[in-house]
Amino acid sequence: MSGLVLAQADQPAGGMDPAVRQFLLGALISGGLVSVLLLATWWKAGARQRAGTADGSPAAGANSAPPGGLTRHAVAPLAMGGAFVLCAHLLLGGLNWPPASADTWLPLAAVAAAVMGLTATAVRLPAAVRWVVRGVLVAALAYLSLRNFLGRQETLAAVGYVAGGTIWTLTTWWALEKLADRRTGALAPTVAWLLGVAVSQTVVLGLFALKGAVAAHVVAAAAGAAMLTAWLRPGFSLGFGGVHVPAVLLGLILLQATALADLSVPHLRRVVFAGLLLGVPLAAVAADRLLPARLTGWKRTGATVGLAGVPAAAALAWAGLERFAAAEESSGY
Amino acid sequence: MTLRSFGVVGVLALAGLTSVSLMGGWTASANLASTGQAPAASAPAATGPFTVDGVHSSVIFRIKHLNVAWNYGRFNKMSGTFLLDGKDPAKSVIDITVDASSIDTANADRDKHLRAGDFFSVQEYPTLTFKSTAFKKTGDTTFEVTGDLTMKGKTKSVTITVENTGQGPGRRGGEVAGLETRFNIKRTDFGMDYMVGGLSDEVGLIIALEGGRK
Repeated sequence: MSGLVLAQADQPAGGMDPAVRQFLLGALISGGLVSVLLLATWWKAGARQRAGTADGSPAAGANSAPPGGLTRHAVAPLAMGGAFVLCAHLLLGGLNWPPASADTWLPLAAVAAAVMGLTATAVRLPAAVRWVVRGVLVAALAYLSLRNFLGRQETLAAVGYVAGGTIWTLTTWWALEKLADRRTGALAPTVAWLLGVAVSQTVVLGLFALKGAVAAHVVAAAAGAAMLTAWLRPGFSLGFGGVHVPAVLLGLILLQATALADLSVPHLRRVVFAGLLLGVPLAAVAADRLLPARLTGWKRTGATVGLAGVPAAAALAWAGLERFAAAEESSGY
Repeated sequence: MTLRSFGVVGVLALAGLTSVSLMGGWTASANLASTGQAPAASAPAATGPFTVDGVHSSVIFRIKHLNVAWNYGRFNKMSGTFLLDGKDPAKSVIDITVDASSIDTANADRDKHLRAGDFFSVQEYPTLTFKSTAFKKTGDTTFEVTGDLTMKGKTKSVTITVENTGQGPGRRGGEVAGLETRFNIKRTDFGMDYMVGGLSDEVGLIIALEGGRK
């Protein structure tokens, strides 16, 4: 066990609800750290590029060199991955080696995604190679982190969990990257933040995964820091590796919460939650492509995020209704 | 339950002993013996270990909430064998398995959370086990028992004091015996590291077993 565990220190009698304290600390540590690092890196670049549109300027294409230099783009994956590892150490039970239970793989996933993000700033592999590498990474994380659980399932079910989690993560990754590569500004970070919040609240309300909810909340806070950076420095872009950490972590968190939820949660409900949450980045990509070109700047971002919020709201509403209905029977805890 | 056990239940149902079987009091071989068939095992049953009677055994835990009050819960399903041999402690054994999904804290939502990944993660780790490795007699009815406690996939050696709480004839023949132990563990030692502070790291356990043998 690690020694420094902020939220796990003996607390005085009463005091703040420990779950609320973990959510607050997660937001402060992750959001604060990523904000400072991103703003420090992008401040001058944002000032230079501010002459462009307020938000939503076309970013460099997928195969172009990253605007603003390699170093600047490398900060997002490093900051997000580092913030998650720090929060896992302080809030989520510490860092464990070798990882045993499913959640202890999350910091490793953060490191792996950050390294891939860092690599993406320097090396742009052909798309086919890139997606094969990503698929192998995500499938390996899904299998290794859930191997104890998968070993107790029928072969078909085990394959279904790994394949489903991999497809969910890769699709989310593709969608966020599409948004980040197409436009500078707040769109991609805001969609990542929205997805993080939706995953966090859905897994805690619908799947009884409070630890997963805090972990997703930490990811959302990092995306929120990127959103703040984009508001202040419109030249900011999450392209070139910036979406790797949120995509990989949110996919793994949702998969683990889905697999390890209490048996009383019907499987159909789990699948629908995952489907609705996958609809968040996909709706954003669809809206970004279909909205009229005359809609620009914050209005475009607002409309896109608003449409992406529809499936998120549906998932949250269903999870919330199920939880409150159950709470009436068991008087909460 | 194995296919063989289903067959045994069928024989017992014909003999009017289904209720005994369903109570989980005796092993399949003991039930076969009660129907007049030859016992499957060749070892002398009278000196063998007692089979845990899940209906009359308890595994209770307590954990401090918000550092103010102890909250109690229990596991409702367990199985295994035990024997406390005062004359020859080396023959003693405690080998119990607790069904983690049977956790019961009198709150359905909380139980769902406890069964999920944050705590027991019962779909990854469906059982908790204790297997004794050494016995030392410390009093007329007490033993110092060292054993491997496994929770959430992590095994840790613990030394506990076990009391022989009684031994005598069973209601349906045979012999029954009981034991009880109370000890504390740190849940973080077993990878159950979530929400320490709001819920104490220290967890108290009371294991009280009744077992029977023919």
